[in-house]
Amino acid sequence: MLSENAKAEIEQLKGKYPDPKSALLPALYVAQREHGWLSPEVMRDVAEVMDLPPAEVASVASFYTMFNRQPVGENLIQVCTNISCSLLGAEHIVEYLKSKLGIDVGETTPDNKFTLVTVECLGSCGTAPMMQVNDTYYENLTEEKIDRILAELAERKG
Amino acid sequence: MEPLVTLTIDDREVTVPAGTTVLNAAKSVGIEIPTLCYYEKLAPFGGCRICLVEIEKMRGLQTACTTVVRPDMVVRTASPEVLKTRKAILEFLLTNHPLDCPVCDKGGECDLQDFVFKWGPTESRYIEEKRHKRKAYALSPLIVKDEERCVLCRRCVRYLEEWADDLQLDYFERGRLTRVDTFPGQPFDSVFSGNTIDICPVGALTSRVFRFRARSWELEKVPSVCAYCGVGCNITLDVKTNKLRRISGRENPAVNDGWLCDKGRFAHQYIDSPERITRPLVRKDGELRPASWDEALNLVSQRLREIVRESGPRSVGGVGSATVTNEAAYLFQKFVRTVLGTNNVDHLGRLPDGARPLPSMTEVREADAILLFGADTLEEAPVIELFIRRAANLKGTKVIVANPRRINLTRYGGPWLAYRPGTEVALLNGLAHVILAEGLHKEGRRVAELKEWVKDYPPDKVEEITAVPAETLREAARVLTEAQKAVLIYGPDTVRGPNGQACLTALNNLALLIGAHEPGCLAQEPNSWGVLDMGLAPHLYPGRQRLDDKVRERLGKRWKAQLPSEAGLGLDEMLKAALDGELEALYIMAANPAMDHPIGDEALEKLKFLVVQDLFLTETAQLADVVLPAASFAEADGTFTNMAGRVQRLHQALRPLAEVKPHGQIIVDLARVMGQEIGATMPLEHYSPQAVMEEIARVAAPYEGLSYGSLGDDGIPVTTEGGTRRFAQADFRPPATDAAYPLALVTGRLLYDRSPLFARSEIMRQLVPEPFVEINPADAETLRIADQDAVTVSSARDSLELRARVSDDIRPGCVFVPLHLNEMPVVALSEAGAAVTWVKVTKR
Repeated sequence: MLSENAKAEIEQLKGKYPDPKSALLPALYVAQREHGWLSPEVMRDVAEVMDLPPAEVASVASFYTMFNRQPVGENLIQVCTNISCSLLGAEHIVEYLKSKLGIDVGETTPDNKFTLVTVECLGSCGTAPMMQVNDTYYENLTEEKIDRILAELAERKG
Repeated sequence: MEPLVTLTIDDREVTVPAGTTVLNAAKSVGIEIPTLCYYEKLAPFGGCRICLVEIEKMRGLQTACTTVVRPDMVVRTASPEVLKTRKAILEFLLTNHPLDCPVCDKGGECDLQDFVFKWGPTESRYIEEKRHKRKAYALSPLIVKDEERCVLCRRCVRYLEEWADDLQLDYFERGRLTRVDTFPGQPFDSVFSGNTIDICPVGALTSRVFRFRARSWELEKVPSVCAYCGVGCNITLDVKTNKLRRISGRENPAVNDGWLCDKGRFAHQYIDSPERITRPLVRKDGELRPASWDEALNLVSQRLREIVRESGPRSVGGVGSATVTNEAAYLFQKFVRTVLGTNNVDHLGRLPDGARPLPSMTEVREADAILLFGADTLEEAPVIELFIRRAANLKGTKVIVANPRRINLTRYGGPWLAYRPGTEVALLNGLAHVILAEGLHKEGRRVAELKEWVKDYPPDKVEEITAVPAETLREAARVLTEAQKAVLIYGPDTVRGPNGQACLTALNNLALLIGAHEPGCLAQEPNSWGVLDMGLAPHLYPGRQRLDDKVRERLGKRWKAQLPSEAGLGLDEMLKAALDGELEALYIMAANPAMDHPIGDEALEKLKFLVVQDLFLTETAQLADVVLPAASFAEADGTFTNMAGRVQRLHQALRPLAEVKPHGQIIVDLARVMGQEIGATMPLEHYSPQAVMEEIARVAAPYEGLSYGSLGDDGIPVTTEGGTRRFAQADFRPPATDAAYPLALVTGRLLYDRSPLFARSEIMRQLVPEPFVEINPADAETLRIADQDAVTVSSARDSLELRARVSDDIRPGCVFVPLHLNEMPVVALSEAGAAVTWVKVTKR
């Protein structure tokens, strides 16, 4: 499952720490970057490269919400619903996204383009309301802005 | 000696060694502080907060389980604040913990229940809906998990980390969603899984075998000893209405320290199996039919007498087993010698002369290097495996594995000496060579002779013979000699066969060179040592006395019998004699030679008369003329002597079913029918194991002075003379090869197999793997065999049909076939007495 490149990258990460075990979080990111989510098979591979019990790897992965333990679409939309964003209409942003995409929070569009989730504070309160799509922040959101962003993302090749 | 620290706990002055925790200091003077996450055999964790105490000059309450005592500390464990906090913590736990105690198997022995009873809130203020999690789902065929009951003390996870070194459980999610679970889709299949039930403080982990079979307070607790392997784990038999409901670990630091393997804990359902023989059976018109004890014993008596009268006592013999108690074994050999009048008495799986018991378990646990030669503790002595894993994991104990198979313990990087079967002596001589050549041996040994004997075994040559790389051999020698306390353990098969004695000599040489304890044998049966001590062998009287005239005369007087002077036949010889028609009758107790001996079935079929006493209609019993129903280990009193030479007591916990009788009782009854009282000191009417032990204590020197009273619950180690230890020459003879059969057969036991008792233990038997042959990928490729292919393994003698398991866990040039997995006996492939069995594997 895990490519040889990813395995080599994890091996390299292990060398960066006095205790190679410490490389587990970055190793999981490497795996997630490659597969989009952490399937049991991928976690087993990580465990093997890391020389850790699979249960420990899965345990760590389940502790952090930023690791996906279900498949996600090409674009993972994470809308902040924490206090600042909420005061500036995050609930409305979520509703708008739901109706635009035709899915509920936690779901993926049938074409596998978008997954919608809500998250806690992403540290961008000064530009609320905001969302993060994959690794990019989109700030000061309005309906028009969302239309534009979604159109752009839908066109982008996966 | 640690310096002492004096402090005050609840106004009492307490003096304890420095480094003691407040919790243990309090415990030492009988002050109870409740704990949930703390468990004395695990490192302190400080996670549950229930042990909070007040310590003067420290801010806030402190966890007693992690706080180390300091001079003049003033501790209060029952101040109003401590009690209020304790109650609050319990109340908080109960907001989520379901109050399903009436249907919880832990009820009555639950720490949380007991703590609330003592300190907890008497009423619940919580009116919200409780948190809901998964209830009663199977973590494995053996263990049920209830997530709602779990208090997240992490004992199970820490035990798997610190002892089993096999982290199959861990925390998942976080916060209020946190739960203990396995890796997604993976069963909790450690063979040490059941210990988590014992240490779980609540009913989160429970047994599927015990599930809803009794309330804990209804159980009568009977101390006993596990009857599966040679470790002799101390157990408690939990009984209700004459049924064995549960087995749990019993504390004995000198043996299993409270731990058990899953086989010992769960595989007891055979006792209630509907397949148990409950009445004597006598063959009539070719079929085994129920008969009365009188009829059966009279027939046995009459037929044995006839055969002895017509063909002489040499034509009859007795075969016992190392699964019966000392008392039964003693009576059996006495019966054969005094009533039948022959020394033709032996047992299956007899350890060779010169094999020695393991040093005490404590020495094994404290070793800093262990050489495991031709043995696999995971399959053959799991609790020792548990001890070794802990030592390797936490203390860095080196585990050197000499085995053609990559056993679990090779994972500690030991090194692994994967020798070719039949080259053991060369390998051991090679180790001695390296040690001598590099001057690594202990000072003060007179090594000149040994140097001469092993001079032809330099590492390069040993590599050629054994296929163990010269560098690996050197590394092993270094690891062994660098150790302060090395322990050498070997499997019984290593020291059997034509090279057995040479192997034993070479092992002894090695131990002497490095200043280690005598190498110890990993005896496989629960009473392998005991039955030898009892004289269940043709050449030994009780106390392992040789059959000389003086001893014979003395014993004859005591037994009030004329003892035979003619040497007896061993098992191999008896079966050969049966094939030749010279041996006409056999009496077999709890052994299954039809499956476990290369010529067993054909030899038994030739007999004129065969008597078998056993629990089940085994392959051997099916051939018998008379079958006598015998009691299980839980249905009789007695003693076992474990692989470290410790004599331990089994207490009868159950009345035998219907007409079943203890092995010893059957022998006594038969002897009486035959007109002899074989227990001079025994009451006439019934069999008294206690009286038999008293007799043993008088005739078998190592057992002198032993009695049921003196054994207590922990048992007593006995030592048999080992003789002087000196270097000796161990000759290596290259094994004969056979071009038509190019692969060496390696056999071994698996923990979960189809042996008669395990295969009839309902829940556990689903864990037995399908029969297989393990073959190295290199050999598989040459033979064009793929994983899971149906193959035939054949030797010059016989063949077996199996599935191939292609794996580099077995070295090239060898195949591994586990014993007791097939309908067909694996031993039938082997020539009795051959050093190596050569086979070929072909695709079907």
